[in-house]
Amino acid sequence: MKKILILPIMATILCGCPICKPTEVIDVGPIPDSLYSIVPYQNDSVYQLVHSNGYVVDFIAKRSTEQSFSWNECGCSPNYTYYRNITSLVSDYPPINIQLSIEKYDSIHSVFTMAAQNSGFGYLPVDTFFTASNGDSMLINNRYYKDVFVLRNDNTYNASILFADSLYYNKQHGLLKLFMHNGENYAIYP
Amino acid sequence: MAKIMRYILRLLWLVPLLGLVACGDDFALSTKYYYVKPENKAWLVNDSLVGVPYAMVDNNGITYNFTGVRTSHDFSEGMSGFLFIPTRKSYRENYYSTSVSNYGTSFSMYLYASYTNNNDDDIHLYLTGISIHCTLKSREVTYFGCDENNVEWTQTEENTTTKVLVNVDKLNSLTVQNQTYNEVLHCYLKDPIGVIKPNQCTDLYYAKGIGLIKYTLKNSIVFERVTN
Repeated sequence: MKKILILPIMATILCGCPICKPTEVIDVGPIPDSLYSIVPYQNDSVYQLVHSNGYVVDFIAKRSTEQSFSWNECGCSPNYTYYRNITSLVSDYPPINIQLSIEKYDSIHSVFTMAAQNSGFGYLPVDTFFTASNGDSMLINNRYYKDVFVLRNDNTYNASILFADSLYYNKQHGLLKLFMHNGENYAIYP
Repeated sequence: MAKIMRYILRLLWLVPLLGLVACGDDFALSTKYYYVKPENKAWLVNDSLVGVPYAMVDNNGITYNFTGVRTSHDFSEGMSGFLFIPTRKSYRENYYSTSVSNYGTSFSMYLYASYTNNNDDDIHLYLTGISIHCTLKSREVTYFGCDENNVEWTQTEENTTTKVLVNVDKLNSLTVQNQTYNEVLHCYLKDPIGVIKPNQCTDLYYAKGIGLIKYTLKNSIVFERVTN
């Protein structure tokens, strides 16, 4: 009987978490200015996009940086403190909430994400996405914009209520044009 | 000993009583079903329209694409009792449909069998955080809800300055974006106390068998259903 009891106890000990000493917390450091500049919006400023039918929409920008923590259950590897900078562009009417996020995981890896309701525009590796390829020039509302990247919606969770399917973006002006699923669009107001 | 036995025997009547209580929700002395009247089912979204996305365009030319229209049919349970003993179990038939726009606007409609009126049923409409419940035939408003709690409302005091006026009319027809809809329920609000927000609706039009066809926000933006 005792052997039967000992067996599962031993198995738990052997297969469970190895006993490690509590590990240190490594702070990956603040997000550098070179990353901040990917998102050109300033906190509490108002930005405008014009709907394809002519209505001009005011967006208020809110920008803040928060700390996040990686957590290692067994304590055998270091925990990391990293930083996420979130910019929200919010309009009252029509109700649109666009979020731009920069996350720095370590000295090499950083990610840029963009989302509007029901639409996500992926985890883009900042170190390669904005540097490995040159964007195109685009004519938007009679004005040329350089280094424009096209981001496609990667959210297929519920395609029927998706908000936008692609957008144009550059580091100088931010969101240049948002293409809706229904053929309408929002473009930067010149 | 004999005394104790007699005492126990006297308490024996408690056994079946406790048994009834122990049976709990599954037992009731009577059961009643309340069904939605057949003629009122015509207010549900037509079967041919279930699951079909629809669009509403506002007066600034911005299109809200509603989708996710789904309906459900169910019976909600009710129970009444006496001294912890369930005496009556009721089943209330209800229908539910909902749709969500690409801008996140949610519209829901519930059709409930009436508990109290054999000739009527209850319709519940929910849009932009505003809830209105009313009886279908008599159009008596039974509930109004908005973001604020315990808001006083009235259906009868036309000139009120201290309550939200909530009313429901039935229109024989209404033309929206060159399409005429017959039998339209029109819910409208007047808000002298300022509890309704600018982006919440003050007018809502629901067409029989079709669903939401028009609504107006407090900030005067009008949304109208467009047909392809």
